[in-house]
Amino acid sequence: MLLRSVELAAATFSSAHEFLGSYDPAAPGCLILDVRLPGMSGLELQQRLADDGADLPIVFITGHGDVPMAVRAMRSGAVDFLQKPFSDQDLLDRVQQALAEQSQRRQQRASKAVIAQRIRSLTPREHEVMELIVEGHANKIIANRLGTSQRTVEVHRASVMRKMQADSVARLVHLVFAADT
Amino acid sequence: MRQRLRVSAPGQERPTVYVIDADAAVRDGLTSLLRLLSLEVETYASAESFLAQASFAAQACVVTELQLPGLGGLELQETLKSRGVDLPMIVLASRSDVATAVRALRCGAIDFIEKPFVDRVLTERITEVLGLEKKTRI
Repeated sequence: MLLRSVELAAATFSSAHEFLGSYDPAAPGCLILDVRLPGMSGLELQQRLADDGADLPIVFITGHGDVPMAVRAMRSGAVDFLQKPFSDQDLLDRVQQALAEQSQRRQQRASKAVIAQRIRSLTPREHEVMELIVEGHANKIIANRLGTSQRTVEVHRASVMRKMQADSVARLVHLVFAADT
Repeated sequence: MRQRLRVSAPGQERPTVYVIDADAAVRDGLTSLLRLLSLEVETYASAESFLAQASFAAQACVVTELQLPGLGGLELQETLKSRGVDLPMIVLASRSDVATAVRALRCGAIDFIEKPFVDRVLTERITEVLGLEKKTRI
């Protein structure tokens, strides 16, 4: 009810097992998780999702939490660990924040994938030329280093810039750096 | 590169642990424990005396009690953050609750350990933290 009031789709599950049965890692989302559950506990589910490499933010809610439990959940990457009774606003804030961060992470990953794809389209020679451009060398130096003519380097440089869709060296450096981080 | 530079700066070799606790027995105990790990240890009885430091070691971490006379452990965390000092922090607490622990961790504390604690838990965490630091700084 609370989540639907802010136009978020909500699906509820009565156990970790039931949740895992219908969880789609590709869909954006956030998990509001009770620590105490029948069968697999909330903390165990968190561990399981982490082992699977899931990018699913978790907000814990609990009626009977203690410090070691809270510390374990937070150290394992939980967004928050709220004790009942908590305010609706606190929960909504955390969920919205978690969803925003997740969407940002996913966008970053997607744009990295695009750059990586462009880098893969380079020939080994173009790749070498690109690295030397990024290091800030002029065509003459690059030609010297690679034992080739300046004219050849110019041709390689042009196709690096075209394939990478970079209109300046600064942009190229930015792309290569973004792919690396 | 930086590693090599550090060799020429004597005294910067060993990682430093800053221990902040009002209880002298805790400070002494932690000092002996951490020196066994060949760590440099500096102790302070209050957050204020720690903050009076002009500079901090490049490779270091803070172990602080939550409750201190004057500025508390969480306030110390916020003060360091606002000063742009990025020191990994482990909070020790003799009296605590879930909300406080969560707040410390949300603010970036590496761990929140209740007293009394097993020495090994703390030393493992410290080695882990300083090891991590080493990796990110190379």
